[in-house]
Amino acid sequence: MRRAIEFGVGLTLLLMLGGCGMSRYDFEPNRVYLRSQENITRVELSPVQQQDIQDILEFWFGTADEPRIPSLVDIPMDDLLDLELLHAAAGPVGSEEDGTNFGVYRRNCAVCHGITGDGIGPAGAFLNPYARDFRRGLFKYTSTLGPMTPPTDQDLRLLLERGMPGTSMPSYRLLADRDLDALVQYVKYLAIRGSVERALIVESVDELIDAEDRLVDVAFDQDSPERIAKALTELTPLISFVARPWLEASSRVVEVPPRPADWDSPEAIDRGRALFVGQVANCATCHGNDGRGDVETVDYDDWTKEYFDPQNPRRVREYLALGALKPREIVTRNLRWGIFQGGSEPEDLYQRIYHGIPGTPMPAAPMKDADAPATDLRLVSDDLWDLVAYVLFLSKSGDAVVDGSGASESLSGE
Amino acid sequence: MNEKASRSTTGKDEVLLDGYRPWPHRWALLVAWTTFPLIWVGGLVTTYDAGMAVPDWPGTFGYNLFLYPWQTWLFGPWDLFLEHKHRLLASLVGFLTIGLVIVVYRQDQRRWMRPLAVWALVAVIAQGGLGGARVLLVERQLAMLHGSIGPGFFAYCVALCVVTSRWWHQQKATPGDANGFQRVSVLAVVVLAYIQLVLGALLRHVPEAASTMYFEVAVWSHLIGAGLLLGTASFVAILMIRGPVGDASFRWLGWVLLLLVGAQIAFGCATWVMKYHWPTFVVQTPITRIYALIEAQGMLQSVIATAHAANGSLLLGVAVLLAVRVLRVYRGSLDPKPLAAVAAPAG
Ligand code: HEC
Repeated sequence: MRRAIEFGVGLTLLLMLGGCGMSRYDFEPNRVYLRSQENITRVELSPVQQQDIQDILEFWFGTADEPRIPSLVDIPMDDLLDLELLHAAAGPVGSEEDGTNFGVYRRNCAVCHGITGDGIGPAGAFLNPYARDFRRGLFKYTSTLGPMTPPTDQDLRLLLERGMPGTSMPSYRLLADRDLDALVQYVKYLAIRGSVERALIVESVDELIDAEDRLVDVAFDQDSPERIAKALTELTPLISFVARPWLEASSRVVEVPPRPADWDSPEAIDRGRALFVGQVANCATCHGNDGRGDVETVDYDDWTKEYFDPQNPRRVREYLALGALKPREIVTRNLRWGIFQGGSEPEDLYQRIYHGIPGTPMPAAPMKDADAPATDLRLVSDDLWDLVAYVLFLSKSGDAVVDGSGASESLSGE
Repeated sequence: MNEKASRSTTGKDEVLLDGYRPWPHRWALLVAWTTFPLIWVGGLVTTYDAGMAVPDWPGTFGYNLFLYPWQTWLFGPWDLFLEHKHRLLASLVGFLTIGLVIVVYRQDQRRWMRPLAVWALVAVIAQGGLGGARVLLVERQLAMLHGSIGPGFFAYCVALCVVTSRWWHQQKATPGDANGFQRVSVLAVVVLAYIQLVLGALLRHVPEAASTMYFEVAVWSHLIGAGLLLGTASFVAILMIRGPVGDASFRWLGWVLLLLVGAQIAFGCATWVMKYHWPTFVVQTPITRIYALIEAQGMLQSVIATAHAANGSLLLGVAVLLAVRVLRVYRGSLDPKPLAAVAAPAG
């Protein structure tokens, strides 16, 4: 009995104090990506080489409490990131007498997205879909062309205000304007920092042949900042490489053309249905003819595929041990529910169909140029509007049966 | 012990009251009733993460706590309002507890009541100091400790209420054959309710840098605890409702206990869904359409989370009420025999 009590008290203390020990708010190294690169190249980085990556990152980007922006000659980093706002987002939670908040990221986001932005916050394992890992700089709901183009500030801001219906991602529209801006800046910061880390990892496994080789020959805890900065100039192109697309994102926005007149007429819906099940747009292969998304497909998103090979599922254990989350199959959206993670305005859906959803199997629609010959079967913007009309029609038809050719009629018969 | 007897004021029964005085009981009630809002304002402070809204302690932005201009906090930012209100209320509870000690010393003739009252004061001071340390050290783990001692203090106040009550004085000790199992289950409800509060505090104060494992263990423990609590509380409640209870208040308390446990489980599920969305096993079912979009720091989210915490404390309070009373009456078992010996007071 006494032992049992002792055990209980010990366990309680451990839980409480253990929690204290865990309140060190450091960025976590990207062990999973490092291992995947090591496995590809069959090079193993020594502890010193791994530590170098973290030291370089800290020199450039600071810590979770004290963010910093690296300065480059070729890219105006201060235009890209606002240090003052980063400071509002980083660090411990607090606020001033006039209501100015600090630690906005830690207070609102870190439980799920993690201090590092790796999507592995304490509650991360419970979510479905998992919280976004920012470190690839890859985002699903963007207005910019091409899957590799980062979102604009406006995209991120909109997403924070709107939230993602149907997921654990809340709407933050009740937050103060400045706090939202701070969060946008901080997400960009974490994404850029994470991508630079990945670049450093690739650089390391590619360049360091011997265990004694190092990316830079400095002692981070002894040398002067000037000397370290000088030694690191050789590596700054890695930052430029990551940062430039972010800087150029706003020039790559694809404007959504205005809705045509009668864009949601029954004829438009019928045309949309034909496209939906047709060979070119090919939506039905994944979403099913009636948009229920119950077609048997087994697939994973790009974040997962980086450490999980469905052909070889057992190898994932190695990564799970490093903290990776258990792979979750991606689910094709059931369009009948009318819950759209990227927004349910017609313009939002147009963007979704146009760009696809980067990082997922959902492809960008095959578009043709305005001057393409009529024999070119690919789509034009009016076709996309027809698809939007059909998707919205599906979303409003609930569980009613929608098949047969005249889609719009079969519903009015309900 | 002074055996000076007094008459029941209602005059309905002829039970001799063993030194009953109304004031200690009234003060204890006052302390308990002030502590209850205090803990749920404290819960709100957590919900809105307002713990650091006032960065100094015991002062308030350099002012004395009581002299801090009321316009500033009453019309100031919400988190400042919460934190300051929490501090003011806490001071009030502190003063009331001092009052309780004085009243008990002057009025209650049972010597053993004195240390009990002093302990309440010690606890209140320690709890205040802990709250201050949480602010000064910016340490969330202390917030967790602070958050789990709060309801404990409330439960203690409830126990004091029972011990000082007229009801307590009316009971006659009845030696009986101890039915350990039944007494243990009443106590188990208390212990489980408290463990659940601690685990809940653990979940709400989860450090952002904690591992997923930490959170998972906390969640599963909280769920298993909920199951055990549901089981034991239902058992005890049914015992009270159906059991050979001479005193109708026990039956009534049984129903209250059952109701609170049910509400608590509903609030708990709602709290999760409103914060983290539907759990994985229902995420792909049409239920998800009901509450598709979470709103961070939304009204509903905060109200439900606070209701869960407040109801948890209430549950603990009722469990303690029941336990102390059961231990008082059923010195032995829930067998009707010893009960017959107890003079049954009106309602
Ligand atoms: C290769 C399979 C595939 C094809 C082909 C496909 N989709 Fe998708 N679609 C998906 C998946 C998977 C998702 C969910 C992605 C996610 O949530 O990560 C999705 C999501 C969507 C969404 C939800 C967007 C949101 O904001 O929630 C819409 C709308 C959509 N698809 C429409 C279409 C249309 C219209 C087409 C045809 C032009 C199409 N899809 C073709 C797989 C596909």
